[in-house]
Amino acid sequence: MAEADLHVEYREKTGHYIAKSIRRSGKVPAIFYAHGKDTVPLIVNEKELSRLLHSEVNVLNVIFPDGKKEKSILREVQRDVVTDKAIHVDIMGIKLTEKIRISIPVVLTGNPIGVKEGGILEHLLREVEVEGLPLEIPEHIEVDVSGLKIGDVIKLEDISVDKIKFITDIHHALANVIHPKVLVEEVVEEEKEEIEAEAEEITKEGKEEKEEKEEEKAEPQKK
Amino acid sequence: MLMPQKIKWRKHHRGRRRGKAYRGSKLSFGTYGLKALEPAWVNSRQIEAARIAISRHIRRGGKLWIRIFPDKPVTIKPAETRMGKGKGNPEFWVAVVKPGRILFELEGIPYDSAKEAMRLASYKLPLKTKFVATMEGKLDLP
Repeated sequence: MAEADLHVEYREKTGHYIAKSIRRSGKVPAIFYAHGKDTVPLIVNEKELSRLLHSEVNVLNVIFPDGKKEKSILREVQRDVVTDKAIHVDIMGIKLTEKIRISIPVVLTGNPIGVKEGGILEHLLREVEVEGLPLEIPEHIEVDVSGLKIGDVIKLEDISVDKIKFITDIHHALANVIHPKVLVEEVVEEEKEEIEAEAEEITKEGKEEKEEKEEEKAEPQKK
Repeated sequence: MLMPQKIKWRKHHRGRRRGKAYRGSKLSFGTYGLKALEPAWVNSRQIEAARIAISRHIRRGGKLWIRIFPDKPVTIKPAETRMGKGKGNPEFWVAVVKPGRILFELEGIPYDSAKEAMRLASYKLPLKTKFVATMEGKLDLP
């Protein structure tokens, strides 16, 4: 796991009004907690945070305003559902000798044989929960899917990893290659023909009705 | 077209569409998605039109998920009817969509093709949308 620094400020006041004003000023409210320590409300710079979130860094050196450093991980990032901006961050203090549980992404590599034959690669499990020492947990788990044929499934139990333990059920499927659903154009054409036929019927009926009405109008004039 | 098989009550209240969609706001199945940016009622015809637009663009290959379901009946009173005499007849079905809701998801096709399919689908819908992708989707990985 790669490391990076994160500078934080103390947040003296809490509450949603304060949190909103912090977000307006280009910062993000955060909380720091660790095993056997008090929780500390914090403020993080939004740009610094987004740079961290786009990198593959997992272990952070959180630098407090008084110069104190704490090894931590980003436990949870809450995001706005529309804009996708971070609105709150949970920072968890860790000990490098203590095992932690964390979710890491699963990355598929290679082009499967089944896809070349026309199949569709389905990525079923995108994150896996693992347990291990912080510096031994990888940034992501790479899974080679180049050998998958149509109908083949690769499971978590097929992946071999060193020094970490999977917490997610190992019988869970990671990816598979399925048969494609082919859009049959004939059906579409049949539908079109049906619609056109219906439309013609409707127009014919409309014309007949119009003619009848005209006849009705003409009759009283004759009288 | 999508509609419930069995219903408990024929006619619903209109309700309100305040707030954001906190459920169904993340990509759960596919690599690419179409996200709603404003609240709206999306009827079953619009969902079907968008589905056809996507499936015709992607042709063979790719898998599509529809993440909304029209489960709300909308009633309309007949034209030139005096007020009163009860609520109108159910005419069509709508899905209540709030900002942030994922409407469609796609997988198994390249990034550009998925973006174009979602753009074509968005013209069939009565709300503003944006195209979203997972990190893998943005990198155009398999």
